[in-house]
Amino acid sequence: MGEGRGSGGIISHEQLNQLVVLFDRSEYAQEPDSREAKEAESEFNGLVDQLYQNAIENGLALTPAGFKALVRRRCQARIVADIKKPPTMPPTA
Amino acid sequence: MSQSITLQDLATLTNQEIEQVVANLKRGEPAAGDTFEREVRSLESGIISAYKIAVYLAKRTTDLKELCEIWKTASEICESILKAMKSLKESRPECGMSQLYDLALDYRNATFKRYQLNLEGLEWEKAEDPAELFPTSS
Repeated sequence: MGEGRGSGGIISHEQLNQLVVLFDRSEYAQEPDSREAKEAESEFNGLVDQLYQNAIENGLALTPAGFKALVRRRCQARIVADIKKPPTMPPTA
Repeated sequence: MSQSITLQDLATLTNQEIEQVVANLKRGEPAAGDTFEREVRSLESGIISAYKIAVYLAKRTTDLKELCEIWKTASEICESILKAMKSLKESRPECGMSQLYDLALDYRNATFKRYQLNLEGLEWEKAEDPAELFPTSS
């Protein structure tokens, strides 16, 4: 692994964006038992596991539960920040 | 005083509604299935509304204690319906009682899972992110 880093983190910008999208689709699904929500949850957990392996190979001293909690916290923070962001005005002609 | 309804208010309203449905059944009412079916539909929409309100509120906070409260309350709404319906689902299957029970079970599991995950997150609430974990300026 390690592809797509180049931004200083074990988790790249691209991977973090993907995690945020999947977290949003599963954690905040309008129908928790929908196929979309279940698929997103499964993909999120799979990606977290994969990134955790990468993280411990890079010497990060965290338990799987701790790693997942930090990832969830970061995803929550991004989603809440996006919601609280003031709407941008459309460009005027 | 704020006039807005909270998830806790919804829990209270749902509990009152459950008591009403159970009391009607114990009295042998209603004779007409229509009324009962309407009550079942109303409880169904109570479960779905509680979940959607929980999602709306959860998406607006990063406070893990608050998130635990939100999901716990939503879970308790489903749980109270489950408890009341457990013994009744076989007595009135024709009115959708069984479907209501299944819906309450699915939503209880979904809300309780979110409660547990946020509760587990509390353990790392004060932990700093390792510097090398996330990309800078994310």
